[in-house]
Amino acid sequence: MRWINFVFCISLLVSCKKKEPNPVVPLSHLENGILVLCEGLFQQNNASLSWVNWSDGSVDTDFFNRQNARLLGDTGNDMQQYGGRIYVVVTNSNTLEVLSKYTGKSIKQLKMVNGLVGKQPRSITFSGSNAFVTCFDGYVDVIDTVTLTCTKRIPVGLNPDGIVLANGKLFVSNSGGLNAPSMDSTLSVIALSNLEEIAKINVGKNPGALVFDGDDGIFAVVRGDYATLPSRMVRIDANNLTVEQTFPINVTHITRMETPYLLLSNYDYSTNQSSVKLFNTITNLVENNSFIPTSMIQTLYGVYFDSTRNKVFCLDAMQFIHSGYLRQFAVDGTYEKSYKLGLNPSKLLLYE
Amino acid sequence: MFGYSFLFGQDTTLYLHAVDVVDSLRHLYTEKVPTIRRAQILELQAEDIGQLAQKIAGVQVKSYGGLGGLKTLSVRGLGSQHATILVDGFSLQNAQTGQINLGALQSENIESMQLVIGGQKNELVPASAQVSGSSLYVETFENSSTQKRNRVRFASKIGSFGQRDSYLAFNQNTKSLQWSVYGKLRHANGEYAYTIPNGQSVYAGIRENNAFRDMQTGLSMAWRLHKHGKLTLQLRREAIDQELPGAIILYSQTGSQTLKTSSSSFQSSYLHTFSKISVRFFTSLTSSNLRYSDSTFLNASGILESRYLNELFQGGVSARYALREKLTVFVSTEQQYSALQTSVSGFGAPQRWHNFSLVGVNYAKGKQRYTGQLSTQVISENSAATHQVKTTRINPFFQVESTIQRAKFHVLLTGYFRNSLRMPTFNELYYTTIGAPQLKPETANQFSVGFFISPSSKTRVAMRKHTFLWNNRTNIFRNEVQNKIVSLPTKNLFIWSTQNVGSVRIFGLETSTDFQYFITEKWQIQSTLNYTLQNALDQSSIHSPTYGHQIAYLPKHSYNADISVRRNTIGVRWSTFGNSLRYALNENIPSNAVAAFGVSDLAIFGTITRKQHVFRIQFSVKNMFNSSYSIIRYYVMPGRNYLLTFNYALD
Repeated sequence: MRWINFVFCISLLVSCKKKEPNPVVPLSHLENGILVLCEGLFQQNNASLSWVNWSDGSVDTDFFNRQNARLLGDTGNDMQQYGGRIYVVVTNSNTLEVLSKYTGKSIKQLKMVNGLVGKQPRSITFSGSNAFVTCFDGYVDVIDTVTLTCTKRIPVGLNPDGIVLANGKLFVSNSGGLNAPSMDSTLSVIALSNLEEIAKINVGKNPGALVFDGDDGIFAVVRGDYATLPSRMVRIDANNLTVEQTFPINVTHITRMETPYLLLSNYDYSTNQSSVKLFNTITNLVENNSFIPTSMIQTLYGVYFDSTRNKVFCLDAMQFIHSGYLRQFAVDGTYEKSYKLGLNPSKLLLYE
Repeated sequence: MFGYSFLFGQDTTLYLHAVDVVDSLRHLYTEKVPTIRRAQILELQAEDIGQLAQKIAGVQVKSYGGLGGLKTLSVRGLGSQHATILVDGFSLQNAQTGQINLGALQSENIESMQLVIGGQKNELVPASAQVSGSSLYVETFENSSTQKRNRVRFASKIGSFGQRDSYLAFNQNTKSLQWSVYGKLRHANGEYAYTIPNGQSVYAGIRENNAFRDMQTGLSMAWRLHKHGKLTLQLRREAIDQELPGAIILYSQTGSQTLKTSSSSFQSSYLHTFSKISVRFFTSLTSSNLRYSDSTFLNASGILESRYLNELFQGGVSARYALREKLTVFVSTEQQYSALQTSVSGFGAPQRWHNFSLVGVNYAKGKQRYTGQLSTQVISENSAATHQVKTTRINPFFQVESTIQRAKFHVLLTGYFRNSLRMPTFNELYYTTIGAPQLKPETANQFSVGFFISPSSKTRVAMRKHTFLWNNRTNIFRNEVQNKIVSLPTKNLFIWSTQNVGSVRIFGLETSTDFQYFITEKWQIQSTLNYTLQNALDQSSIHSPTYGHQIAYLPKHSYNADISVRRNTIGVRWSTFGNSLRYALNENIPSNAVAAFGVSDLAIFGTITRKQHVFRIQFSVKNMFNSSYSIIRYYVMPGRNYLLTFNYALD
């Protein structure tokens, strides 16, 4: 009978799970670095934060877990800093994580659900004591940043996505992405005075990211139908709420640089080619079609400008299934170095 | 030639009839291919074919949950579309998904299940099965041959998570007609508690939106038209209504997806056997309706509904001719027509015509047997969404077998090369959001050498008391896959994303050992031990971050072991299986890791026989150590659960 015991013991040994080493060494104070939100993949619960230590070049790709002893959730879609806090919008987990800016520790995890239905939060912006979160269920949630509770739901269009504050108004892009092929084509305009929608502007099919140029221009990415209708950039007048111009430029992300410049980045899904253009918001012209050389970037997923260090950071999603990279360039386009991150890096915050 | 004629002789009818159960020992220790028979199936109390298949070395079953959950078959690291599932000589196909859900195939009516990886056991099965990378042969009670006039099977199960099953079948055999009718109902609420790792913490919840209900029924009739001819007609119908729980999403469980499936099939075959020639004609017509629904989808109407109608026609003829005593020639051709209609916009209405044809020869000389086969596949495809596509491929197969006979044991040595092809499915090609019309067919070159060693017949007779029987089946294989199509559930279990990952090289070993130890006349111990090594590495590009990494969801090591102890008609059985660490994506980094697991079941059973009536009762504790594990990440499997089973057979 000894062989039965042997087999049984072997089975028990094999059945024991391997414990991965994960030493808990939380950072006590964040400075001189870059915090990167990595979206992860849908239904993989692998949204994460990577902390890039500027002084020694090290990267902690498991930063959120290390600071909070749990995972961030599924599909992190936006991350913004406001006051002494960081707000991370986790779409498929239907949560808004509120973190300390200085430690990355969670202050509160807000559940973004409406009864049994997830709101699918997408993007966030702030004004006064309120945070405004676009939710794919057709609303903008108003979150009191003091009590961290939802105080109002503002109905807008179908699957609101991007949001930006400009001249006392909120502009919300209604993507209608879940209603494909009949996507939405409008921006909702919300007055901060009464938190009501006051207008809708028709900008083109499937609007997404929004950027305010600091003057009177709202720039919107209009993504088209991913097939015959290409993505475009549209300029909207923030005062008279009209479309000023549609630019025949393929754009997936817009980043504000030093006034009056924007960085227009694009990743072409059919050719796997990326580009970063320099755009002048006064002349409405592209001044440099290849502001950053992108030959080493596989899947451009975002561009950021660091005015303090005079650097440009490109986020490389590496075909969406491999660990992403933060590519660092000098402002003259010279490549400097890369940092390996989590899956699908999409947003970053700069720490001095 | 004794070895072949006794051990591995080719019969002149379908393989199903070649191995009538007379003496289970004979089968257990002489089967040329891995085989699971009814006695073992009863003890395992598997819910479906998927749970049975994972008991075979070299087989990996990807399971997305418990009762009714999607289960797909992977043999030696190849995708499920390289394997064909044959039920009573008819192959199951699905051009839309390419996946046959093993979870929807009941196990109560299975008499035997065999995995054929090298040369076919019988050349009269459809050509599509003969050219595929591997075949899973299933023989059901309804179509098993018998001399008994009336037979009845009844099974009833009561289990955890609201599981209630009932199965009833009747089979009558007259001089010229054998007919069967069966019906089965299953349902479960599927709600079970779970815990999963959440970083350095643990996340606990209740698996919800996981209810399952299905109904299966069928009628089978086989006429012996004359001395040489047999006509078989079958009608099968199934309807499944299930909720789709999807992956567990941290901090949010809001699933509301459902899937309703109904399928009807009509199958016919005519087998004609002369002294030297056997011919089998067959047709099969299958119509399947799928309705996917998400009642909380955030579109304008607040609901997402997708309907799919799959229609499949298969027709063909296979023949075998014994040219000489030692030389057999076989030919086969099969035409398949698949059409898909769907409410999903942009999908088009794809149609596919797929022809499989082959010619082969089987030659025995001394203790060697040589099998060669050359097959062609001609595929023509038409979709409103794309242009017409035509593909023609030639797939060779060659096998050498040799026997070694000693006084106490026999050894069969086998080596083969097979080239196989699998087409991208309609979903992979045309599905609006994840389809990739540029996908190429996936091809595989399979090399395998191995041996099967078993006691000689004299030894078996001599060893019936106070000693033990054993056999061992070991194979080393190398598969080279080009344009490998990988499906990953990045949205939910019904919607996949697909990619050609380029080149994959799989090197592996599988070994399976059976023991049976007769302690006394009353006491015996029986055991099966399986181990599989699969080193499946991405070889696409040396510049890729995943070059040399293990392919997603293929464990390097997997095992299963079963031990049963019996005293006369009562016994206890312990079963276990497990996988080593796997990765959810091709990049082998800790954040993609899916933890290793081992799961054990324990069952106590007893049988009472009164003349022709056999009553059997079994109580099973499944996942007895309450392991929290997933085969697919975040599709957590049930913890400890219980099952009470009652079986009745009239033979």
